[in-house]
Amino acid sequence: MKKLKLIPFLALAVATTLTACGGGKERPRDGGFLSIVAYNGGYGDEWLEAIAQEFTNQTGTRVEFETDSLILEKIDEQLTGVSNYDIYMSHGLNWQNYASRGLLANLDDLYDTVVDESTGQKFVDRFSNGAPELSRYKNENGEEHYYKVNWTQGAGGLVYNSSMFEKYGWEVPTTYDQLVTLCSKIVSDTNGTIKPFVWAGGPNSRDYYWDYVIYEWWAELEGVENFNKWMTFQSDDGTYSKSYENFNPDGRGANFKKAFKMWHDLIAKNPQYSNSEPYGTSLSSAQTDFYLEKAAMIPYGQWAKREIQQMLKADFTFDVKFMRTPRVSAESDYYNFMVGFGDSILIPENSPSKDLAKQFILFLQTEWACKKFVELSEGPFLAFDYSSFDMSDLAAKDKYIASMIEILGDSVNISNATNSPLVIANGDTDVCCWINNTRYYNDAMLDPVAYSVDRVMNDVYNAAKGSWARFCNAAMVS
Amino acid sequence: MSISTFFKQKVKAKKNAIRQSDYERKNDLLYKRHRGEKVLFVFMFIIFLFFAITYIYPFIWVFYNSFKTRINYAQDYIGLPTSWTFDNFLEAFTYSSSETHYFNIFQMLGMSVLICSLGTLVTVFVSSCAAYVVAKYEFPGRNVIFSVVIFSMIIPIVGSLPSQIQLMKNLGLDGTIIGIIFLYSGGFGMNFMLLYSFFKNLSWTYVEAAKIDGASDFKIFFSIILPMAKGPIIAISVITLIGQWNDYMTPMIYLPNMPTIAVGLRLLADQMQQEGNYVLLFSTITLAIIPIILMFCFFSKTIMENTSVGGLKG
Amino acid sequence: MSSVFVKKENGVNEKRKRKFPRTAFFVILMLAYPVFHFCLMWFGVNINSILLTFQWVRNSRLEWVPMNQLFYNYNNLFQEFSDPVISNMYKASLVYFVLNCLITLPISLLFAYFIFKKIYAAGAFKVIFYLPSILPIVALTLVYKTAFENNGFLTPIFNFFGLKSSTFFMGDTAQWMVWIFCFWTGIGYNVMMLTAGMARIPRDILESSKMDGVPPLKEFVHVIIPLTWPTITTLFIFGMMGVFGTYLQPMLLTAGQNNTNTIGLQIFRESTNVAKNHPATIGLFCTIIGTPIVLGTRALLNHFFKEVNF
Repeated sequence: MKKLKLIPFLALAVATTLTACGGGKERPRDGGFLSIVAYNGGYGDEWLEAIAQEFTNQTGTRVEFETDSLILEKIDEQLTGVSNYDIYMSHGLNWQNYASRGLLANLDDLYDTVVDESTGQKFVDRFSNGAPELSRYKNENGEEHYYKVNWTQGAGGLVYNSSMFEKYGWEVPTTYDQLVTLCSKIVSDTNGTIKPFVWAGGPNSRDYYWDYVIYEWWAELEGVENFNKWMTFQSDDGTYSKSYENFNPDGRGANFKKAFKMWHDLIAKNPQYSNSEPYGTSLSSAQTDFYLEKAAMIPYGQWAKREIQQMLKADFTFDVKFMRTPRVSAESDYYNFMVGFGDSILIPENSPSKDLAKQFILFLQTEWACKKFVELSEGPFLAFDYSSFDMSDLAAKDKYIASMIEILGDSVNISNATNSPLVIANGDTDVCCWINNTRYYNDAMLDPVAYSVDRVMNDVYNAAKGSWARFCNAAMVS
Repeated sequence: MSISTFFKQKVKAKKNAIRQSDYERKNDLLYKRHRGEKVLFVFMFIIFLFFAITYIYPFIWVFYNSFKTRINYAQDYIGLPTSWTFDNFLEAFTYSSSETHYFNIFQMLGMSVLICSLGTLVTVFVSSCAAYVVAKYEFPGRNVIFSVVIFSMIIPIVGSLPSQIQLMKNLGLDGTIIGIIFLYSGGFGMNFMLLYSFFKNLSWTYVEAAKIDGASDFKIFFSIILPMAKGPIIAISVITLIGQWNDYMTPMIYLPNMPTIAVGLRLLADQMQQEGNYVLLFSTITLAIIPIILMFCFFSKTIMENTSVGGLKG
Repeated sequence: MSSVFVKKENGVNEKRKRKFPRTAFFVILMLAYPVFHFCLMWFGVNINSILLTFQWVRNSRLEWVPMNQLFYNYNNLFQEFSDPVISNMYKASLVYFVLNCLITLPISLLFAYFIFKKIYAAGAFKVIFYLPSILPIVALTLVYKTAFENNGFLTPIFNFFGLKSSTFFMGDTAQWMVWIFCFWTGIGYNVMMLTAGMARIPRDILESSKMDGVPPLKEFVHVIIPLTWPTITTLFIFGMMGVFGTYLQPMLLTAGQNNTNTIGLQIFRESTNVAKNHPATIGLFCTIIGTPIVLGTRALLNHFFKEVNF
């Protein structure tokens, strides 16, 4: 008798399974509309909503969009199976890998499209800082094509409370030495109640925001050309098997070491300049400290303002600006690390609406869309050239955006985006530039004597030496 | 039977059991202790108490902190809430985002119920079939099957996951509920061994009688053997169910778009920690572990008795 | 032909000519699915795993290695022993042998003994110790980690001793945190198994040792341990397998940073990569090394106290 009672349950269970699976993989998606996904980071989704809406108004094309912070985990399955999206926008996309597997749409025709009839300017000319060169890659047949569009350019470094600076009469530092002086002034002016810096090395650690500052100093010491050469991860003869020597603190890694030493001298050796126990501080409490004006500066990327407000669900009650990172030498240019420069816009080969997707990207490069992105993401820039746009209205409206416009406009912009096979195969966090993603900010902060500059840089060098063969094997280079 | 009477009975039974074991301990020769031993036992009791506290207190702490407001928690993370609020739970009920694939906690629990009930049903049924036939029928290849199964269980195979993932992809089973159930549905595992030894020792007289009445093999299996094996089948079902409920790896790899609670808890926790919303995180943890704690209360005896038997066969 | 299908009935084989085909049909039907599943998911997967070790990635795809580089993956495997990441991974994994077999197991044995000897509230302790075994590991790691964070309930206690608990998951202490977690959550399962094993010891043996006035320690060593030896052997082998199998704890607690990476975690992480040849080779290497050791230990352990059979 008992088993008879089980039958309806079984039937129900089987039916549920079938319905649950029915909506799944195998049915191809209909074309005729656009489906976009963007990384759910500090940019929010208002910009996407506004641009999608305007695109629909102008072309009549329906656009669906969502933001997601787990794109990276899902994209492989999407590209190889049935993709739910026609456009992906995210950081950290392993696009070279997808391109060489034939999973991405060829964008040569997009780059060749004339975007301005009057001047004959093509899409390929709409970028600054050499982005298109980094967007080409070999496909499975060894032919080189464009497979991605750079998504953003941005800034990395120090964000500061400019109202507080004005209130106390602190000058914005332009050199490293001035920054050092400023820190001691902040502590003495406020009896230590306000810390120069707050940063999070604890839960949801963002200690790597210091990388941005260090890269900028390093690039200045190294010079742009050498810095870019360094980022190819090759030896001088173009080989890889011994290029761990780039990390040699007494050789080609000397400037990396110098830049780290500047950080070490200022931050690690002066615990009074940071919030207490930054190695145990969570991201949210660091943001809260900055919001509550317990610190004057916070290392961050261009998304700082938007993200902090979004996380704390409160708007800043004071002016926030991005600082031009103080230079090593007063004679030098300002250097800016474009944090988002490796970020990508991709169209999957299996999208049924590739042409619509290209149309949308062409729409993205228009002045209206470019400015809308800055306005609604509150600071970050798309990767397109903004130099011909009049940004004064946005600058007048928002001091943070104004500071971003200044930085991107007059700095030497650098990035660590690269098509080096070593980085592609092993991931930038393992190769560039803290080997195996072992960062030392927390350790040095906790014990600057044990984790001296020499020791840290030797550790990095030895780690590089030890792991290099594995990196080369994975990248199949020698 | 209402839940309150159930618990009343449980408590009563517990009290009786304690009384009885007290009595036994005092009057049983085996448990008589002299002075030195008593000191040793008191010492160990203190250690045990310490361990027990480390297992229980963290969850109590999580539980009462889930009734605090964010400010209350920030100001005082040790004490009891100044005023008890259910807001965190209300928020936890509906909290979802693209990271959780817009699954809220109930949908995740639903996924867990669906996958685990089907998975358990299928694997226990398949194991029963296999164990019964191998234990009770003589056929060519029987010894081969049995030896291979034993062999597969004692060889420590390392790193078959990459290959398994590749195979599941090629079969088109990744990303589907059917795929997960298929993975769970193996018939030759610990469950097989447990049921095999049960069937092996099962008396054959009923079957004899049924056979004289002309019953078929299928009929005998379904209407005589399975009901007789009810005890061990329920036991392994409960253990399998808990194992699958807590399984993190399989659904994470093969069903990332439809998180079960074991996987979803991590996704939710990541989001909430990033927001620094610990009280919400605590209420979510509380909600996520309540089903399993309840299950444990109902079946603790079955689970504990049978885990130990099952494990021994490895 | 079908005469080989015979029902075993209390040791007596009784042949019934007419029914054989139906019985054969029954046997085949009952075994079809489990055997198919086993062939696919055990043989299929493991053979494919071996084949993977003879493949490499070309153009982001797995291809067969050419004959002149047949042992490409194996060469790399040995080359990588000098890579600190890989060598630390092997070392960190071996620690789990010490932890599981030489620390957790003996302590569990001691705990189980006192529970078996009906220490006050023994039943309750047994249930409580078992709690971590039934809770989802994500919940356990979350609670464990949170306890040491700046707003965790353990922080004031450590502060009292001048320690900063928020740094415990950094640097060298990180591995200790993972080990303590494994011990803390692993002890309950062992205690459960061992008390069950002890409960099978015949009462008269215990009574006679009690009458002879054997002190607890002596009883523990000379009576309890030999008589629960099969369970101890099983748990010892399980503990050894932990060398290869531990990965969720370091993954969820420290993300494998600070020397907590294990073989299991490395394989798990690389398993979704295109280059599946690399983790598959590590896995096969460990299987080849591990199997004789595990089987040898098992045989050796079974050799002691052979006569026990409850």
